[in-house]
Amino acid sequence: MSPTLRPSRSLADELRARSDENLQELFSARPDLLSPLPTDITALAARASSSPSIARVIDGLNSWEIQVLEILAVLPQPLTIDSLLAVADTNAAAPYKKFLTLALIYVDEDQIRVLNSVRDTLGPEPAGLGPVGLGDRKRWIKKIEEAPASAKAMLEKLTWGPPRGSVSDVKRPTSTVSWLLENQLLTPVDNQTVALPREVGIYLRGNRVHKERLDTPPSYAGKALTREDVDSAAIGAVLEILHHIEELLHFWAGEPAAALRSGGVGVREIKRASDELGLEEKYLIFIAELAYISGFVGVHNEEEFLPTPAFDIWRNRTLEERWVEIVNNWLSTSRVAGLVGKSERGYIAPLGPEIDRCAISHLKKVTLNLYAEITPNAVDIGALAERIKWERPRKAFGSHHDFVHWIAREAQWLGLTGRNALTSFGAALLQGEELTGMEQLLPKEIDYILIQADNTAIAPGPLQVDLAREMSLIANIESKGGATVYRLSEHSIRRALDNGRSSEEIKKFLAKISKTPLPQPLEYMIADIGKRYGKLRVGISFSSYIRCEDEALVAAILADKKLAHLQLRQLSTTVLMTEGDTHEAIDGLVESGYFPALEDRDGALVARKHERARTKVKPRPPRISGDLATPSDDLINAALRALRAGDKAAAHRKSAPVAAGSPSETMATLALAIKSKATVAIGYADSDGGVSERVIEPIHLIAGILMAYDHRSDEVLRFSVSRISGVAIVE
Amino acid sequence: MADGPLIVQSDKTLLLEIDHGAADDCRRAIAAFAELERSPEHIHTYRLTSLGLWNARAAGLDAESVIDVLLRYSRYAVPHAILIDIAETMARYGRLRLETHPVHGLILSTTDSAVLEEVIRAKKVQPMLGKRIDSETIQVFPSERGRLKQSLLKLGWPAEDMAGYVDGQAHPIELHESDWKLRPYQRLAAEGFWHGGSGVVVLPCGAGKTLVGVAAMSLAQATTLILVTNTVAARQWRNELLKRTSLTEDQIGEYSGSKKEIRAVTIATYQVLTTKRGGVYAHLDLVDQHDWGLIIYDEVHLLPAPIFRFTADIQSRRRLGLTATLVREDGLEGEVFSLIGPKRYDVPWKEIESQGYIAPAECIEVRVNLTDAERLLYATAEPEHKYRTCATTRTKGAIAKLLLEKHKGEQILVIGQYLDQLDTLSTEMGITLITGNTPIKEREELFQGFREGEINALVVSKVANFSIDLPEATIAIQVSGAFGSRQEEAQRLGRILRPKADGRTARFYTLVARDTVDQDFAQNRQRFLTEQGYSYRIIDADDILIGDIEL
Repeated sequence: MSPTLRPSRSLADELRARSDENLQELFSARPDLLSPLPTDITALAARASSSPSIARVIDGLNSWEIQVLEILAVLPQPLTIDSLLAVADTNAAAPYKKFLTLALIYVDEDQIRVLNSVRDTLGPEPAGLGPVGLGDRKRWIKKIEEAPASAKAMLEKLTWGPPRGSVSDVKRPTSTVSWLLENQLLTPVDNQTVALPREVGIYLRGNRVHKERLDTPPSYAGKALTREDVDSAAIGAVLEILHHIEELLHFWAGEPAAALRSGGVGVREIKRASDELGLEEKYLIFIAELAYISGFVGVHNEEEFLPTPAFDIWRNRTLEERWVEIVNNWLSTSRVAGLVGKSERGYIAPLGPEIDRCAISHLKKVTLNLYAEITPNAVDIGALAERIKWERPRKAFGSHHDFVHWIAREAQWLGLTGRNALTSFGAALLQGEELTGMEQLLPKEIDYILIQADNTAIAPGPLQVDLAREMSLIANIESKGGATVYRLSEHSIRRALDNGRSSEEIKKFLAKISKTPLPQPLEYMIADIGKRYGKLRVGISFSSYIRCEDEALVAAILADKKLAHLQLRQLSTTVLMTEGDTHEAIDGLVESGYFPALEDRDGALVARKHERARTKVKPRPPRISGDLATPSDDLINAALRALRAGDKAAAHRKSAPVAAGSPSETMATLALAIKSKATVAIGYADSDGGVSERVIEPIHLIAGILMAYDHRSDEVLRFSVSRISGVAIVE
Repeated sequence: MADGPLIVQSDKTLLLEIDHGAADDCRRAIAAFAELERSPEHIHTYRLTSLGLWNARAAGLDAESVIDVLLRYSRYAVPHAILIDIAETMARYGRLRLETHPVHGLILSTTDSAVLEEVIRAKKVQPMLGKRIDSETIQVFPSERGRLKQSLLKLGWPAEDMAGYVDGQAHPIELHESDWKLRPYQRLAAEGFWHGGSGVVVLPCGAGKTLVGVAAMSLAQATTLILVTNTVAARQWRNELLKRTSLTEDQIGEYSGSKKEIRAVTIATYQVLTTKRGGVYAHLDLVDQHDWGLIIYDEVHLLPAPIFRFTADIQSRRRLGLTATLVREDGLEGEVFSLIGPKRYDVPWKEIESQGYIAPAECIEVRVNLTDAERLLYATAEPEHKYRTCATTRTKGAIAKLLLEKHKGEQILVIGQYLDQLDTLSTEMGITLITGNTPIKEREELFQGFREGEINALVVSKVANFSIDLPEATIAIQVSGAFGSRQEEAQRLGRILRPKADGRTARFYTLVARDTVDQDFAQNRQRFLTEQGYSYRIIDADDILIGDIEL
């Protein structure tokens, strides 16, 4: 090899030489490089070649890209694009370009340099190939041909990895091993291990690195669908999940779920809620988790789970806003609802610890992008899981299959997908568009109900919010969905009276919004209850009392065995005293079928509102996520300007010795130093692309190789002149 | 359809807006797989149940066409979970089949050996099965056919019963359609049953269920056992059969407490069958020792539990259940389904009424006040006597009397629960009382007199609830009932629903004591009928007393 007078390039040099666009590309692909912002390009290069950052990039590569990277890592020097394409394929061109952009590799002259940290991250045996051997290629190729059968068999065994084999003692090998070691077809690793040298492995693999080339992504397309099919199937799920979250939290507001001491909600609470709401347990766990990650529910006094004020704020938003909020929370959370349930380590509780997986939000992104690629067609979930495995072979998820199935299931429950295809509004949300276009798909709001003789009232579409609120006060909801079925009962009308409505108001309201005439028995019922309500009063002076002008009624209450627990005493024919408090008295009376009203000291009726239990804690669980958001263009541009400025400043600061010089200057200075036996400082590019500063005493210079005494290592070393970036005589 | 008549709710109910133009088509399409739950005036509610979907599968419908119907008529998007559920549920039916094998006899076979493995591991199922023939077939003890079907249904893998029925001993039965004709829905009901093999026909009281039974017999052309609620009903059936068919008196037997005749067509009462002597059912032989080609269960919703057990043993015989309502106060609807068979035919009451086959009826609730003395008595009554105390208020007597006068000349029934109350009414108004104690012969004479118009009014106890044909009754006055029994209310209304010669509207008065449990029970009782499309009108007793109201 003829001596090269050109100094070797470092990664910093390469980055410095990049155009702004090129750097922008790098930053948006590797946002971790910008946080925190490095001071100059040298620091940037150091960050870019650090193992954590490299690992992050490599985890984001697909199977084929990993294979190409492995090929680059194992091919011997000098490594050129031609030698890569000879082993890989023309399909390797795209990954190769991507690696250049990502700064996993860079080109020095026409040689490809692979960062050392890339090699480290790929592991000691990339593609199942052993350590670099030392033998002479022509010689071992010949020896392979001559090898005895037993040696050939052993080589064959090691060819496709693992490349290591155990021996009892390397110093006393069997004849076969001994023959292979002698001919440098095996190389000792330690006392008990031998390995197939990398070059031999590649040769035995037929000048290939991988048995199977994974350059075709597995297909995952399912049924062909139209946008309308998909959207109409999903919009129902959207309405349902929003409704179900509200139902669950209302239920927990009334009957809070006990918190486990170890955190989370127990199996029994989940079962209770799922029975009460008539929802499948798995689905219920998912909506409970959704509420939790959105901060709608939190632990109150370390005892029980209650809704939070955040829930009330959310409840008052439009449908679309509500949906966008919970879906975004779902996309970014690190919690995996699917993990809830039995496991080897016992029961894993919803709303508890233990279900954070930092890779999940990245996986969701990848999965939904695949949905987006073929929208509006459906995906085949089984094939999709295979595809994800191909897309991210190095991401550690545990079982890809489970995770992908969970994501698919949850996306369907959320209405992001319908019939296993991405919806139009789901796609819009993923692209960060503000309006998802969902509003047009939602059924039109209506402002009327139909009241029937069986005391049901039906809103055959989504009722206007204020009407719906009033209706759910006056009537119980029997069935929910596109329409709402309300049942008017004694109990429900009582509730409205308790909340301060008068029977006249109730009647008027119903008559106003009902398209059908009020059935006469219903009018009677409302009037009857109104008439009875308030006749019987419960109040408090020294202790609680019950009074009523109707003596027969008072007698009936006194005789009622179901009210024994109130320990009633008769003061007069129209007044009873009770030991219990007013609320106890009212609840007891209501349960026994009476219509008591609460009155204050002046005898005026008090509306007895049903209290809404809320917790004040800020419960939103932390997100544990490996993913950084892609920085905005503005941020990248600002970062770029700062870097360039920092770089200029650094160049000024640098002391003379390491300042880069032209090759001829370098040669001249070195020659001078040898002659005068001077000590020099040099900038030396190592194979990692970094430049280190060495202080050496040059001895002689032959054919581009400088022999010199290195002060740091205290020994004489060989330095390749081409990699000396600059030289200065130390005074 | 963007503006369809149907709304599919996430809880699997279907709401059908009946004023919609496409409502009729939609109703016909969904009736095949969804159960009609209630049908008040504007919106009918259907429910998708596993039973209903399996039923549809049995009738040859597949999941694709069910889903297609929902998508076609639905106004809003159909929840995806429901579509999946329909497909999954329907796919469960027919994986297992009960068949008759030429060598092995009754077998359970499958197209999916995993399912068979699953069910034969179930403890309840194991003892019903014989030897394993191959991975997809296993022998079944013929005596366990009914119980096996029950158990498999509970496991969620309903078996398709392809094992067929025995023909039974042949006996010619011809319909004599001379001065009358089977109504179209009666014919459809009988045919629906016949094609299904076994099952239940649901028709309103007065819609001629007996004739459906008769038509079914003419299709079977075989000896028939008819099970009825009581002796009066048995005589009614007998008369109907003599009038409508080629059967002669000596071909029809009555098997009751008083007579034990077994003929080609035998009519037996539930009571005699469930009579135990020395701890065993004494008359079971009647059911299983004779080669019946058809067994008819009248008023299926009243079928006593022991009859279910006999029914499990006779699964190779065709079974027809007749009823006005599948609502059972004891919740045994599932037993009716698995042992007698699925519902084969069902029409809303109002529909038959609008076709003119049953009389239009007006339901009126009359609110009466307790006297002050009664109120105090009521207030302090023990809970178990409360209802009786308020339901038997004397005021009701006065009102009943007034109503009687108002409707003078019409055929009137006064119906009640409490004998002393009825007794008083009967004495005060001078009307004959019929109770369970009235000798059968006397009862029949009175009813005959009523039918012929010689007697205008009768006071009847709950014996009149069922199966008594009183064709010209136009007014019913209900003074008390069996607490909140919904089916009783329906049955009593049924007493006056037979079409009237002059097409006049029947009236159904219920006297209710205001502000008492009577009122609560009345509300509960009325629920079934309001769900069937009847609406109640409430009037005040005082208004009647003052004479200030147009009735």
